[in-house]
Amino acid sequence: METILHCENLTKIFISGLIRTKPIVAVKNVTLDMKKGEIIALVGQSGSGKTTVAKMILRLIKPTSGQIIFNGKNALSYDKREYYRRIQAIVQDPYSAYNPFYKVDRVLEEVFNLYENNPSPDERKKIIHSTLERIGINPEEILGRYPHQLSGGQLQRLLIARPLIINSELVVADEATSMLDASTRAGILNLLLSLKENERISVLFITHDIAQAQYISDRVLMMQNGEVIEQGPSDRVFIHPSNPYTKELFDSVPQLRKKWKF
Amino acid sequence: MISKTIHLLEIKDLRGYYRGIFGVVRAVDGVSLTADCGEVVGIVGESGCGKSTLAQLCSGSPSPLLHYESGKILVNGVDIYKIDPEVFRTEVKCQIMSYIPQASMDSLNPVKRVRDFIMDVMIERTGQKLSKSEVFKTAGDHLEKLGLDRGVLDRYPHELSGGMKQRVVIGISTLFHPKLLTIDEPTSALDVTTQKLVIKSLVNLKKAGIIESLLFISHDITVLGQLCDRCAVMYGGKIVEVDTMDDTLNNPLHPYTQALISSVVSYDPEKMVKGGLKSIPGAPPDLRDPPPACRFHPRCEYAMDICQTKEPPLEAVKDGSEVACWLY
Amino acid sequence: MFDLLVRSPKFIFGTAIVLAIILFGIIGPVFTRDPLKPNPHHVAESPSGVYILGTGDLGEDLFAQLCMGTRNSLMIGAIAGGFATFVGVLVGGIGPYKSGLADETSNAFTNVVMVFPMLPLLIVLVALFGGGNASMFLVATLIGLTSWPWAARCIRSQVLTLKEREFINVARMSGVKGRKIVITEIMPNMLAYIIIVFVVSLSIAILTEAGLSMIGLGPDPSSNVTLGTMLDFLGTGSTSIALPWNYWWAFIPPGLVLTIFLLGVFIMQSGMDEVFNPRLRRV
Repeated sequence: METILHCENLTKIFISGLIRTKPIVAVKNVTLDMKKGEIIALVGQSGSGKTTVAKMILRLIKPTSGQIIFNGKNALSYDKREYYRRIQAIVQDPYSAYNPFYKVDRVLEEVFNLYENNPSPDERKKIIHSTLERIGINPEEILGRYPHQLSGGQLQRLLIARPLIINSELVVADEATSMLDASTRAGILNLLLSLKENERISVLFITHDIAQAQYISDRVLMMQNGEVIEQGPSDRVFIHPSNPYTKELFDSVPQLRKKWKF
Repeated sequence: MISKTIHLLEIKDLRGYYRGIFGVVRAVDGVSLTADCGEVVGIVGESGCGKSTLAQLCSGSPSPLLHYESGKILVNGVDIYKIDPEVFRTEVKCQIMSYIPQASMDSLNPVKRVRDFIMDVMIERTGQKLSKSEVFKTAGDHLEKLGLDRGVLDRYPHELSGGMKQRVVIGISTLFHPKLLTIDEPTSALDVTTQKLVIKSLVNLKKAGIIESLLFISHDITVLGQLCDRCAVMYGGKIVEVDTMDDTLNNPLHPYTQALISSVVSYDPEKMVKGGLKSIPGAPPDLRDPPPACRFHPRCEYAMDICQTKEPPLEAVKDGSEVACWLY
Repeated sequence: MFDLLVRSPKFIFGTAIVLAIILFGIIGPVFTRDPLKPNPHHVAESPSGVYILGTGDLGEDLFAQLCMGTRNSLMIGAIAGGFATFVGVLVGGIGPYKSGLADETSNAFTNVVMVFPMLPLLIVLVALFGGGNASMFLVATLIGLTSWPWAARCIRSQVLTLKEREFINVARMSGVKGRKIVITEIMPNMLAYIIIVFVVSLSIAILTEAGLSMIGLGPDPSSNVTLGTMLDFLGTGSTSIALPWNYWWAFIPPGLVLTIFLLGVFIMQSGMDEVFNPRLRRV
């Protein structure tokens, strides 16, 4: 399997203060590899730097040092439109991701701008309808509505439809399920799994939730204070963690069928 | 003479609605529940089910838009909405029952040290001027029971971590050893390791006898499973099932509870499980205009005709279990 | 959300009041006599059939003055308010969007101007440039020049909030370029806000002008009539008491119109706040 994404020693230092006094090391020497068709979980508690890594991969923030190689080429050398044709993202707060002024259709329509030649309106409509049906959404229920009229789960599904419409290769899901209820969450997790199984799309799943990471990922990277402290295949790391911090973390996760002993 | 035991908390057919320019939201629409001394009762439900509203109503001081409509809330046999507000404030609140709302750890006054806060609370409650050393000794002892260092008293809120702040809030709310502590989503914003610490401190509080009963509200059933004896499941402003915690997890009766359990992702240190999670189609009802009769019927896979016409009452099915469903 | 707004009773009531007064100001002067024309035969007469609101010191028709005054005050308010909003959008909008040095500079600049004692500055400027016969336009401009920091602050906080919203990133990931993002993503969400800022700036300006006129530093009263100039005889000249109650028809009407207008704006604002303020709506 070919490597689709390779990050080498990614580092991001934020400098706060007008007089440039305090440096904050958000991400330190993060190296990760992602193969085509894999789901990788980037797990860390709040402040571990995982969202910063995501933003760098998505070219929303510039790395202080390090490289991001996407499909063999330096990510920064891609033309932006081509880059976003291949990598898309799903964000944490579905209600924040939609401009409340416009109907939700806009989010689906605007991905077509990433093409060199925009397909005709009829073709666009056909593609949107078939994609929505593929992920189990009835187009009549969704199109023409405003964001506040739909549920969080529906909004997230529409965001997942975007990479499907333009046949992206990689989806970055940054805490995509954190603001959803348990029952809706299950649907989105299963949908992301089907992206990998049916569409061969790779997913970078960023989360603080260990249970979800275990459910969905093939490989996992554990982050703490901006560094990767443990990584490996999920069936090894989750069952036999070697790093003491990781062990402590896993011990603290409440399980459905097992009680803590106090 | 009362022949049956008085429950510590008894809620009977409680209704509380939000009224505003958006209309009337029937957030809590006929809820009945009991909690006894020594029990830890959990209330689980997804967003919009009314569990936080229920907690607010139980606290006796609902937020401005929330109106208590009808029903009874009896604490130790006393209806808190029928007694004089002054009596409620001085005798019941904080002394017999205490309420910690959501996100309360963010509402600590940032310009006051913890000890000043505690001093204010103690003076207001006991109405006397107490010596600083007395107060701080009591407070320090109390905080230590929660696993905090005495030094926390001298700190400002921004110097404390999330878990410490949450425990400080718990400490302040339990200074007077209330019999019943109602706590709403104390751990949602915390890291997983801190969450365990806070849960542990709550269990320790109960073991030490500082609180007798706990009403724990959360959307996360895996957390509830760790410390609750009994569990009530809420949906659409109503309670659909009440069971022992073990029964709720292993033998759920109501279709919603069953669906909820099969949609929860759980960490398993022994094997990897892929697939098998089931989501519930549709969305929770808009409580301004809930579905008629059983509120879950539009999403229920077992829905029958009667579910759309008549509302199922919450009835005891077997020892310790109550369900509101026509299947039983 | 906008549908909630138009159903909000406070908003409708407030807007009705404001629109009524605006209408009064637009239509009123068309049907009345020349407000500045002195009439020595009817000096300081109380209201009667001929003169609805009586006459003033020099025999002017006070009702005509009220109509024209309302119109001119609103005009001054609009010019000053528009000026303040425009500068506010420029200074408060561009800075925070670009962030970094541009933001720090515009913020610092706003803060400095804001802390400056405006009223004394205004008085000095009007006296300097106006002499004794300032035009309404001059007064409006000067008020606008000194009241924009408030507008800039409001716009700035709104832009900062919007910047944090994820839909900006979603737009970037759809290939939308920087400048287009401002126009298509940010501006529509700011529109309602900018309108509020304008309306409030307008009301502040009207009040400021009235204040200036009362101390004789407003538009030249011999050629202009505003609600403020109608009040400038108070406490000076012929009457040594601040509020000459036996001459009530001279000062109560303009004061009333001012008050009712500001009340209308306030109620309108309060209605909008109820709908838009997320904290009041959280259920």
